[in-house]
Amino acid sequence: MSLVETKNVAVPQTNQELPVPEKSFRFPPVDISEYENEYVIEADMPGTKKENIDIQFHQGELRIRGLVDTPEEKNKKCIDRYRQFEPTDYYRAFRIGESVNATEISAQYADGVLTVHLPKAEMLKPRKIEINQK
Amino acid sequence: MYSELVYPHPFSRELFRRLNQFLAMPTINETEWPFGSLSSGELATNVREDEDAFYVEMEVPGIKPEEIDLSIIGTELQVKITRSPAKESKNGRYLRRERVFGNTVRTITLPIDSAPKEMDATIDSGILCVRLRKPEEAKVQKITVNPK
Repeated sequence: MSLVETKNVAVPQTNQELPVPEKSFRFPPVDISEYENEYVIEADMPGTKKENIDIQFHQGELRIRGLVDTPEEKNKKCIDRYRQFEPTDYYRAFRIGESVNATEISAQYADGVLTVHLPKAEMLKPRKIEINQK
Repeated sequence: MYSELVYPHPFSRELFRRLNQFLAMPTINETEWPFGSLSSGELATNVREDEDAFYVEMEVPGIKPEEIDLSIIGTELQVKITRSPAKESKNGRYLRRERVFGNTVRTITLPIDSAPKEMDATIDSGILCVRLRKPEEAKVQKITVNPK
């Protein structure tokens, strides 16, 4: 498999431009699918907004970060009866290496789900080899 | 429950003491309001309350409004999610699958004696927000203190 998740936040120190967030965050659950020409990552990130999502690909590592706004002022008048989720930012990183074409990576955000399309590098795409006649 | 007599080693004792402690923890159905029943594919839920209404918020990423069925049964709010089958094409395969799939039902029992007056619901960026207006008798009655 070409996609390997960066297991924890102690990601390689080689990349100082993409720091791990200092604020608390949670890992969004993901589905990763492989198609003939691409990998697709779908991440559940409810409560964030398209403009608050930051996706970076650097030195073979894909980093996804989504900021979640704190509750509106009017909510503060309410009494919390039960809380199972907090407005916590999202963060997750994947070590992908050279298996994707970094310039063609695209993403959409809809209904709280971020979908990242990672086209495979040319060398990974299946090629049909014709047999030539002598 | 595991008996300490069967596992006399100090390490085992400590291990099973902790295990027993864990097993003795209340399950989700035994916790106090607003938990009602909880089925597989848990929907993370927050419940808030103000003078007029209860606000139930649920994380429902990837769910379309037409896949959500909300109903009031007495003083219970039932949220039923019928997810469309996975859109994975025949050419694709999953390398990792962590997101919840399949159908889900969650019931929240409201701490009131009669059914909520009215309900409206919105969905924004994968968060469902249901507003349940309290019946008159459940609202806080303000009493004015008059001078003699």
